Amino acid sequence: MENSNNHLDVEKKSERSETVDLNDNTLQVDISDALSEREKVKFTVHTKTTLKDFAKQDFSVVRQHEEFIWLHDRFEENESYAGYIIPPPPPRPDFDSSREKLQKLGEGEGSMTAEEFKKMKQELEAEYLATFKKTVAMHEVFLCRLANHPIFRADTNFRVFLEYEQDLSVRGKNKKEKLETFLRSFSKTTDEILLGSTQKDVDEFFDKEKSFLLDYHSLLKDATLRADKMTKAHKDVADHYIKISSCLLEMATADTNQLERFATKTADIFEKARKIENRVSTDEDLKLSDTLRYYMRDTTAAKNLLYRRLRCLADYEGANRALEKARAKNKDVHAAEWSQHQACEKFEQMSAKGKEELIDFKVRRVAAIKKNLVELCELELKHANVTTPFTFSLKSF
Amino acid sequence: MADDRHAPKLDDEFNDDDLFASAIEIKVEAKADISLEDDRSNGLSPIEEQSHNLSAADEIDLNSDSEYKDGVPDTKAKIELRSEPEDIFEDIPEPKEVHRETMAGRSTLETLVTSPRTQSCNAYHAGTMIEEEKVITAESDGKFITISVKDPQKIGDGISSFLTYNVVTHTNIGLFKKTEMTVSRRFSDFLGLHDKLAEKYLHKGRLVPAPPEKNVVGTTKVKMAGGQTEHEGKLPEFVERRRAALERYLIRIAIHPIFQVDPDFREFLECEDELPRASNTSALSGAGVLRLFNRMGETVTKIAFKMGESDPWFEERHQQLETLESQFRRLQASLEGLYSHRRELAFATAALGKGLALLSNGEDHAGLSRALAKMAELHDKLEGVHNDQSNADFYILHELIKDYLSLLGVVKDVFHERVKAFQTWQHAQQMLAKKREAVDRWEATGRSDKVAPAKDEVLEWEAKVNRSQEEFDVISKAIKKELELFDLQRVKDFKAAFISYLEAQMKAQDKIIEHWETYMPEAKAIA
Repeated sequence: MENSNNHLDVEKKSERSETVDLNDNTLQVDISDALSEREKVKFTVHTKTTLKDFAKQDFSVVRQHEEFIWLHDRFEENESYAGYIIPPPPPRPDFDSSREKLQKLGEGEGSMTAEEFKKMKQELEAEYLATFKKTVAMHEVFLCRLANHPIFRADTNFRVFLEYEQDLSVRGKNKKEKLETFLRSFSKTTDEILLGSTQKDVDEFFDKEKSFLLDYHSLLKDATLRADKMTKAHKDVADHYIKISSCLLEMATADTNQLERFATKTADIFEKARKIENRVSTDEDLKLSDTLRYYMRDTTAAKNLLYRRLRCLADYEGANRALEKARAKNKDVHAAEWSQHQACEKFEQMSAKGKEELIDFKVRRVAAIKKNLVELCELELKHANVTTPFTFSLKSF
Repeated sequence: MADDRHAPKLDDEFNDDDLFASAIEIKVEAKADISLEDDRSNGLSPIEEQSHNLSAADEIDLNSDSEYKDGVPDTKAKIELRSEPEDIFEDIPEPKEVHRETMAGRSTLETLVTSPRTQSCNAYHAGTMIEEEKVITAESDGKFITISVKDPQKIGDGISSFLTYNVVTHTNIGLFKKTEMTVSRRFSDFLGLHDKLAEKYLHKGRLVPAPPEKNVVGTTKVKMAGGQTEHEGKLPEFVERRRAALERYLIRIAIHPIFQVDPDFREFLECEDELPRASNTSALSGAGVLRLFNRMGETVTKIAFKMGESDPWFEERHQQLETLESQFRRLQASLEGLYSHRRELAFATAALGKGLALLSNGEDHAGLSRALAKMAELHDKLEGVHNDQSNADFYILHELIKDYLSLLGVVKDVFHERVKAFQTWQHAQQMLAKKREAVDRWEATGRSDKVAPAKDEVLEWEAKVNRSQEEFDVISKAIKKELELFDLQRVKDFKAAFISYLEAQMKAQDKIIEHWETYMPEAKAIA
């Protein structure tokens, strides 16, 4: 897997972009291709647009994961977007676990039969492919949300991201910068907690939302972890089927009587059962775990919004106090007034937008979870229904 | 007296292939080895006596190795001779026919063999672990024997406590006193039975099934468990496994045509009193230590002595069995892995269920909350299904493989007995040669007084050589028969086990389908 190039077909992309509805076609973004090279994944971002602002109608650029993160950070830092929920950035493409497993498999090659080895290798390759597809999907969803948001799509950084044909030369943060970011996030968290406990919100809606989101977030995190454990256990079970089926096959070849045919057939059944179990586990993973995970991240983004708003409120109140003081001292009244006015405006704007966003968030969340649950249900039924006929055939022996 | 009683009615009217031919010979020879039992109930002796009286040439001597009550005058026994019903005769030819009827006979045996596995399977569907009505029949020609082991009960308290099991037998084999009996036995009784059978048959080349293993940790836990003796739920899992294993053990004995009619076995099933404590089965007793030494010695000889194999059949078989054993071990390891992973899966599913329940509580959208709550319930149910499935994995398949591994061990032992017989034979031949030399020497030196005893010795050793050669042949033939039986049995058992396992899987899948189907409308109903 070190030097493998994985090209995904263009057709496949249709199954990936599901979570976001394109409500108008003036700007369509998708990831048409992806290449995996050593440590890096290169995404081909393809844009189709009818908007006049762009130089061309239809164009593609190659982007790496770091550039996606850069884009996200630009949005996050932008003050004028403070009232919006910034879509969570896609997670880093992580092939470490697959790589580890492959290594272990290679080491253990001597202890299993050629067939078993081949099958396990196949399994691993399938797993790798699945991880790959997932990461592409995540990146695509991120872009699509930006493209569909009426305000975000007009952002210059976004445009640059889509259009600029050269490398954006976003170097990964070096140590110093990483440390900076870490410290900044640390201070932000403490601030958040402090604010959360001291600052009282004027608006009840936001207050409720805040407490709800905090709880919800932790619950989601918990559920995600458990769902992950479950899918992993499922996978393990499926893997063991391979071993058993190969054992049986061996026994069958060594046995000279009627048990041979029987054992072969049984081995076959275990094999098929394995494939199905595997599929079940990947589906579960996709529908349930991933949904939960995504919404967990989204909730974080919503929490960020609330935090910013709270910060803004604090600033506003600070400005108010400053104004009063200024009025009392009768100094710099005008400046204080003006800053207060600014703060006030900012705050109002933020509240209004924020409210919209949060409501929207809720609707989106419910719809997505529902959709995924229904699909999960259907898939489970489909798989369970497939296994039954196999076992029937065995009884004929 | 003993010699009178069984006027050997054995002729060579038994054709070679008769399983029972050898059985009869064995009985006659083994008679000397059999220890007299103390508590023979009255009822048994008449049957034994009476069968002795049969004019039918076959198999009477089954019972001629009768166990007498100490000091019971034979007059009493003789009187009872005439009064028995004639139908006892029917039973006797039966064993022979078992074998004659090749496939037909075997097929009846076959169908019933499936039961052990399906029964274990049914256990899971019934849900309870401990008390199960398990019925196994070994049948031939309308005669059957059904054995079940149930109701483990703890008797006594503390270090001297032990578990007893009820052994319920239904049979219409006439050799048994009654058609239905229930006796209470403890684990050491089972081990005692095995010892007796092994003593009698192992060196004749018969495969005596191995009893379940001892389990010090489990037993101590049960002993130390506090007051509640009757609480089924308190008895640990190991008790259930042992109970099932004991049942399979008895069934395997019952299926074997020779062991089925063995008097020790019958006594085990019938005798209502407590059997004399087979205290020499305990690990720490004098006999136990002796056994240990014997086993060490045997291991050394196994390694040291390489028998010149004259029969390629044995060589081939030996190889085959070795490969089979290693395959079984691999399969067992994988099954254990499967079992533990599925347990994990069940666990994780339950955890997810709880997580979802919490989530649903925290969710403020009513519809979604309800759907999530339902999903949590669903996952709880799924956990139950997975648990059941893992139990099936374990009990049906894993125990089967374990049993077969121990059976393979017995087969190896039996092979070794053959090797020992060969050794004896060789040894006897060597001694004979030496004695002959001695005779020649004495004759050459003209010591006529030494010649006569030397010649006697030669005769004696000649007889020994013949005898040991015969034994060797006997054991070889017996082994061949036994292995055939073993193979057939193995095929049957495996087929049955896998079929019932897959059936269990299917049922599990059905349940899963059911659960998801009930959930589906909920998911769709989210507003």
